[in-house]
Amino acid sequence: MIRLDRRFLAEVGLGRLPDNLGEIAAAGFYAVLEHRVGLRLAAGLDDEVLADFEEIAKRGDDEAGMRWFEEHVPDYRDTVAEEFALLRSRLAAAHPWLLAASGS
Amino acid sequence: MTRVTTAGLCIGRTRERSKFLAFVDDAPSGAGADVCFVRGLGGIGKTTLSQTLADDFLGAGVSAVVSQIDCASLPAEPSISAILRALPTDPERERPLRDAALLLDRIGAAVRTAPGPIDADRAERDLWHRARSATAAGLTFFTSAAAEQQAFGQLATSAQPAILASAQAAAAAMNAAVQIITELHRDGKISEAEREAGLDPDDFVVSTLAQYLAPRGSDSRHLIAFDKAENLVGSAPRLIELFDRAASRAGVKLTLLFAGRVSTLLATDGSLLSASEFLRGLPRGGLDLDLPPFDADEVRELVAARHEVFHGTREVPPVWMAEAIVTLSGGLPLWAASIAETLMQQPQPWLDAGRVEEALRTDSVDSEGLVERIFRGATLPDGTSAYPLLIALAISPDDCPRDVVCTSAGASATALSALQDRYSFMRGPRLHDTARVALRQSITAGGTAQNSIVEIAERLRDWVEDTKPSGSPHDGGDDWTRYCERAVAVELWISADDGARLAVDYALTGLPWAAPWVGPLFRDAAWMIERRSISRRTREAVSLAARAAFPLLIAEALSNSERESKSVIGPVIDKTMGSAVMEASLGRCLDGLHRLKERGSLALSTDAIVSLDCLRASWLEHNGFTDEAFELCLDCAPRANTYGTDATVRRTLGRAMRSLLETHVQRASRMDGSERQATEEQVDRLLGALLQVSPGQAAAALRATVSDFGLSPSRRAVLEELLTVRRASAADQQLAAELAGFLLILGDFSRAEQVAREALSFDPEWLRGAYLQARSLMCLRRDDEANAIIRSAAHRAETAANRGELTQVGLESREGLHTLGLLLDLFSDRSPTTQPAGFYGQIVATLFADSDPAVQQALDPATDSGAILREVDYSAEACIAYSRVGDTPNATRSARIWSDVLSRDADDRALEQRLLEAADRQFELPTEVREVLGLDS
Repeated sequence: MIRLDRRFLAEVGLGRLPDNLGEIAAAGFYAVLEHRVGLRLAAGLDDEVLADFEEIAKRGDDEAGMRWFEEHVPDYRDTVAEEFALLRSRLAAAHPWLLAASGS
Repeated sequence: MTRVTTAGLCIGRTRERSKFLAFVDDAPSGAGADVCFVRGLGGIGKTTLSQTLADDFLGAGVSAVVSQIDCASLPAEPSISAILRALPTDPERERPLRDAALLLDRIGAAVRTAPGPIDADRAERDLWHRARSATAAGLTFFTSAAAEQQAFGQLATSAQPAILASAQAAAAAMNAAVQIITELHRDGKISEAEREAGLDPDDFVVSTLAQYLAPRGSDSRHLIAFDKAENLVGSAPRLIELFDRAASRAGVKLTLLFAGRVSTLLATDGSLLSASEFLRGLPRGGLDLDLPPFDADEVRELVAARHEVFHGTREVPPVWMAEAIVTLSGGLPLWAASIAETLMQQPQPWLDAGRVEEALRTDSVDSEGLVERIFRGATLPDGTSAYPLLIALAISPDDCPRDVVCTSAGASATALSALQDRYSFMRGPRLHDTARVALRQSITAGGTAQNSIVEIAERLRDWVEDTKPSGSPHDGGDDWTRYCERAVAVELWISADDGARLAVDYALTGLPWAAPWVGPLFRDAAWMIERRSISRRTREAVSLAARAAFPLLIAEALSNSERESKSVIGPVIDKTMGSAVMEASLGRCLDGLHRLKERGSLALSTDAIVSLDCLRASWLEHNGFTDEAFELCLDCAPRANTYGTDATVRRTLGRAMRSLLETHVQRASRMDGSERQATEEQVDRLLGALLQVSPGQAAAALRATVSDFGLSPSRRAVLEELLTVRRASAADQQLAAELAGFLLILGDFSRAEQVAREALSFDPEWLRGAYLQARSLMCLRRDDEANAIIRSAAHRAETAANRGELTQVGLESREGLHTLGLLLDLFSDRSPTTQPAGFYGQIVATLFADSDPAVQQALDPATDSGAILREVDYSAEACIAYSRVGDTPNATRSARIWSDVLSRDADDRALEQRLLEAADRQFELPTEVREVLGLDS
């Protein structure tokens, strides 16, 4: 379970960010993670399979969505974990200048 | 072919060299590409070993060819055309490579400037222009699914799951690429050869590379070495695939050697793999040379070699000295050699053990002190200090010409080549990356700028100013991105305070449209702020501006290249901007910056002030501070108008002004008397100002204004002014659509038709334009012309829909065209040939259907259609329905409502009138109804 909370921010060196900037950092992190994972998962799937997912997403059927993931991209957890680790390392590397720029 | 001569440069690494030769000798038989990685820390000796391996390859007794590419001279993740241009070769083979690169670039440029897709309005078009730009980039890059998704990823929005957005974008873009190229060829804008290359660029590139690799004479093996391969992390797997296919086609055994900090690679299926995993997955396997640090024996060899360079004789130092150097340098050859070089002022320096021990004492030297000692001790062959030139190399922008760097340091142009020959921290005419980072950190350690550094930076600033683009940063463009980044980078070395304030100025200027320089400017300024002291006021300004731009800073932090940065900014902004947290933060920051400016604590350029005011106006409007927003918008508008009509800052202000105007109109609907009159006057003032800022937004705002306040003489004047503006920019589809729609409402069908027709002449594929022109013609009862337009546009829309090319607005226009087609059939007393589309089309089709029960059912109040037919706006349709089921009282009542309620739009009334006439012809409406409607006359 990915938790983008104060603990996560502290682990990447951004614990000193004020709450509002911390929330924005977490939301931005999540957006990029979602974007990159989406790109990778969609890479190996054909239109028909993706259309199935679109239907499920429209219905908002979380359970069917999970079944779809298990069936078509069973290693999606690995993908998420890899991307999470990559982005986490980038954010950690950038923490000195992010803090300096924002005066935190 | 480029041949390298590195004899004697490489120390140690015998095991790696043996492994490499064995790898080449034992490579699988048959043509194809074998891959070797040379990896390790910065300064470990990757480049040196790579060059040595190339020499070993040449000297292995078999006739061979070696080509080398320095990827540092290419952009990150370079395009395939850039790779083709970078391949070294003889003039005879160079021509086809350059021709192929030119052809790929030409197709890319043609695609980039191709007319817009089948679509409906400007806003939606912007999205597709981005898709086409990405398609163009994709053509000169790669066409594999993974690479396309990287390129088109910018279209994905986090408003919906990215998995869907990216897949749709990629699929649409692949279709778009084929469509664009086919159309360009059909229109004679690209040749047959370009069409073929564009439709299958992979095959084209493989053919070109095969031609390049084709054996000549006795050459039987080819090595291509890519140095600084960390630039290729995303593209190396694809390059390998293309080179492998090319080598097989050419019948050549090819070795690809990638040297650089390559720890992970993006595989063609999009997955991230470690370098060793990646090599294991290759069909022909690969060799992974992960270089370890030097031990004392290798350092002794290294010092002996440096002694030979400085004094002409090879002298091996004692073990104690080698061990001391290992301790100090961590075994990294770059620093070990550099430390040795500081001791080489005299032959056999170890004979003066006291001096050497003092120089190598680790208890008195921190890492920054050591680095400074290494660079301060560097000399040119005439004995003068090389330090100023090294400073210039460390602080100059990457793209600064080398002669400018030398001049800024007061050095001759030949000084660089002398440095290259003497010192290990040089890589060609530049500092080794690791050395550059270390020197930059070292010279900022003191906290204050040294005069010598300031003088060099001031000379570099002269060059930067010579490269300043014309116009204003509000014009955007890559030239301004480069300039802003260079200007701030150099200014920071002159004065951290001035540089930081310049960063704030340019960042604020670009903030309204998330200019690509905003994130990098804060990154560079913050790096310096961490090391140098700046004033409290400047620190406050940087902090406020950085917080206002924080989503862009996060995007910068999470991307590792310019290309990637562009693709992640969109999702980050979508997710963060507009959120309650960001809104509150933004308001405080913008207010804070405004106060600093007003107090004289922050001097901003005119460009930055306009951006700041536009952002504040937008924020105030969005958060309900309408009075403050009103004053600020009127104050800001004339200043925004000084920029080009396409300047994003005008769009930002235009959106805020339109929204503000519509809010005023809504408020006025709850007022009366003098209060309403005062608000109406404010609306007219806003409308006048908006007309100058953004005619498209003004046209939309005029519609809202007239619907509530009526068409006063001043508003009619605005309309005429908009029509005049429209003539000068007839291709502006947003403006044309708004104006044609407005003229239709007013009943000025002839001018509506003219506006739509003229805009369509610039883009015949524009569906909304076709819809508006056809509707105008039908109101003018020119049905044959309308019919031709509808059939043609509907056909295009269907074809486009099959390719998944229509945006939401395009889909709505397609539905509208179908409905108009249905009405035309009914007006001509024909059985409908068009399938009804949309809710309204289905109702109308039912009203004219043969089955009376179906009409009865349509009137059932429990159904959606029944509810609609009870609304005043649908009284004409209700009149027909009631007439058909024999309910004459209700039919007459509906007819009376239709006749009496004249506030409906003129075009709706015109078409409803014709619908009633058609119903009368086909079903003969009741006499009472005909009398009310005046059909007898």
